[in-house]
Amino acid sequence: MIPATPSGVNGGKHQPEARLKLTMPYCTIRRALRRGRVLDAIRRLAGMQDQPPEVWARLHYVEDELRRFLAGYGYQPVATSLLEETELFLRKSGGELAARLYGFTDPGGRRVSLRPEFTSSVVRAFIEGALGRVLPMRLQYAGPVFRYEQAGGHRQFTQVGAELLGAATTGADVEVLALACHGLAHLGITGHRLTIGHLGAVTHLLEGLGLSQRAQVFMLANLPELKRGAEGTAAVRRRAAEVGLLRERDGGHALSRLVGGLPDEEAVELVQALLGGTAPGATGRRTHEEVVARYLGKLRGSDDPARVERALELAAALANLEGPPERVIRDMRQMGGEYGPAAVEPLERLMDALGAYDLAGVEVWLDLGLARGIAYYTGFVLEVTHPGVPGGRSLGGGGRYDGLVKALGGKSDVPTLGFAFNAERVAELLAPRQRVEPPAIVVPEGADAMAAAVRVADSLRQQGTAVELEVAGRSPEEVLRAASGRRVVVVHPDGTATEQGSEGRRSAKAARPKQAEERPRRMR
Amino acid sequence: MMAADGVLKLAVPSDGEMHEPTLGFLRQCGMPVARSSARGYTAIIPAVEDVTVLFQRAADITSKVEEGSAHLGVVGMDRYMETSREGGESLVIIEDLGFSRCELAIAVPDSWVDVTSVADLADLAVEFRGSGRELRVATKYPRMVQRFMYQHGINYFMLVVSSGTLEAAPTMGYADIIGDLVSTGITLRENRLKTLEDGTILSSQACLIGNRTLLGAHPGQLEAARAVVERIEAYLSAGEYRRVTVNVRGDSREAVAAQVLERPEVAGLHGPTVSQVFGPDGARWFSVTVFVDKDRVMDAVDHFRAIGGSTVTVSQVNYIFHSRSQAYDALLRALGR
Repeated sequence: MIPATPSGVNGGKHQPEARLKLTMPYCTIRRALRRGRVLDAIRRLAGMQDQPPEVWARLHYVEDELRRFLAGYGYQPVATSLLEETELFLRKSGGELAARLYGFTDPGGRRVSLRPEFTSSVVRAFIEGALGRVLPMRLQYAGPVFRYEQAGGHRQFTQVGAELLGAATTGADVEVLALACHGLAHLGITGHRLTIGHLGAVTHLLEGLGLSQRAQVFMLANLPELKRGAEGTAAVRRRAAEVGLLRERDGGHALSRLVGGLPDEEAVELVQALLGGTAPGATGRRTHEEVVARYLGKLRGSDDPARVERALELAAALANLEGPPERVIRDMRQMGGEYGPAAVEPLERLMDALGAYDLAGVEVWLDLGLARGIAYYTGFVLEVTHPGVPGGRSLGGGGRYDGLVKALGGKSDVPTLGFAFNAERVAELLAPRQRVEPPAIVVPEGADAMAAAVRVADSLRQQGTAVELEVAGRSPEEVLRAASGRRVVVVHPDGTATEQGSEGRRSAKAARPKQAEERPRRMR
Repeated sequence: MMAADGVLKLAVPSDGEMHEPTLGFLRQCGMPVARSSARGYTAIIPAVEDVTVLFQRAADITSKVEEGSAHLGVVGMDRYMETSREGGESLVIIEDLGFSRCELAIAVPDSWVDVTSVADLADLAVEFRGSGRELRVATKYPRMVQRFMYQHGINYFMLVVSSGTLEAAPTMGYADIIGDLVSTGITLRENRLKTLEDGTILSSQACLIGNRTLLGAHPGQLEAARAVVERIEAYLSAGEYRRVTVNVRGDSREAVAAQVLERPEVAGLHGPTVSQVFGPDGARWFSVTVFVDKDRVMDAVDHFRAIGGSTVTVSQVNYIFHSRSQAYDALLRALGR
């Protein structure tokens, strides 16, 4: 609430009833206003932005140009709904994004959320058959997304992105990588860095160590933490112990060896005997058998600690492996030992294929620790950064997520990949845009000239000139003083008009309005 | 202070577990609350001018401060975190008043031997989902519990918001687990529940909150707030120190001081005060007084014995006012001053 004038809302002893609630009915508000009270101002929500004309123009220039650019590669614009069932995003994303959903219960009792990104919606619409069925399919989208970021962050921003469905080749991978680079170049931006990671390659190495699926997912999820060096690795080791990947406590290790060698029935019996009976109802809505079965599964499913330890070391080394492609590929081949050549193969193919595109002015960087925080990536991942963006935050990112169609309920596996730009961040690299030509102003000379002024304004608009009619009651002199360099047409009570602008007085009829430039000039 | 500027309103809990401790705390801070009748909703603090105490339901204090009905409030951090509006009017002035400590934590049936960590719960939630059920969490703190669950990768769960006794929920079958306050753990054990290794959502204690606009708008009320904040801070920092006094035999004050200063960590906030004692036997004794961290009292005693001290006395300190009040300075910064 904004502090009011000294005699106003906060004025001493009348405070409780004087402090007006925003929920009060409008008649109460009017009564309060008649008494001369100052009401609390309602402010913009944290994390939301208002855009003045030049900022709006810049953002939409970026959006329009990127859309035009993507259309040049055959990506067809589609739209999906801003609101989706919360379940859609929960199923796709890790808990991290789930915690940032703008979710609520709608009046019909459904749990719904504003979209935090487009990919899940596009894939959902594809599965429903709403976007057509012919593969491969190239789609593009643009619009606002919402994420409940920590205080200080932007909670609404615009994504412009592309999805390519039904293409499993390296050729598709590099097309998406090239789109991310060339899209910025199309806007005249240079000097950006394309960082490429590859979860497929990392997974391959972990599989080579004979790690269980659960342990592999754990390692991938913790790549960002492992990137923090020795301290991060120690934290991940602790976490591995907590979830039972590294058994260090409560004698579980000995017990797991014990039950490991027993047939199922005997193992269950053993665990039940050790636990003793439990009173009915004590296990809540789960049965005693369910508890025992899961406990047994945990005991048996745990990986060999020595193997987990080796995998942890390898994952930590991979997470910190980044640099120019040739060097990273060479180091990775050595690191992987006998599995090295097979693991680097997809990366080598990717880099070879990328060579077909002209990436002059772009720094290509391999970073095997790039995980992008979202659990569903399966192949390459990409992120675009620029030294002009503070804090090294990315301009956009994406990758390959082949399992997503099935995860969202599709019947068959459809390979899928894509990327999206954060349009606001891209726009901030460009100068704010001025209006191409400010509208002319038609000023009636006194109230008697108003009807004639409306007619003059209309005829100018028909000729293609943008016109503002002076309706605030200013005199021609006042308008001329305030309107620097703009066309001003004064309409006299007798219906005649004279034009005054930077070029001096002339007749309105004589002045043929210039055609406004159709397309804004490219900046930089 | 000018009457036109009004008085500072301090909201304190009128009910629940924080009522008595809050009044006791204010008394210890040198600000006993004088209530004209046990039923009155307002009271004064005779020691501090221009402060009115408002008794409010513990659950309402955060919103009373946010909407500007009170300038300051004493509230549990748990309730504050659950009900404060982000980007709202309130701010935390002192986050650790040191009483009404408790933890908001996840608790599961004791018999769930397979569940020891939050990661296990995430796993279990997926398993529930697979069998067409949803993990149900009963709590009075939906906002914090939901955020905690999501942050820990638990996406499939349903909140059962309840204000009754939650501990019975798993046995009664209307929830699987609970997110509730734990102060001693006895209630949990009696209801055959257990906490998880990493299931603590918030370690809570009483805190002092304020309304930034009200405090920023009236210099007189801000001055009254300073009086309250400073006294609380002085009481809290006094709790960290003990006054240790000892008589030491020695040649001169300087020589005794030098011996004491051999261990600077027990030689006082700014160094020892040394003064001569005039005993009947003519021996040269000096009285040494230092303020030491309460955890270092035994170190100090050992040190004084080692340098020839006789009986050591240790006493509580009531208040320590530092040269500037850190909490008040931080408040001014938060108000943009």
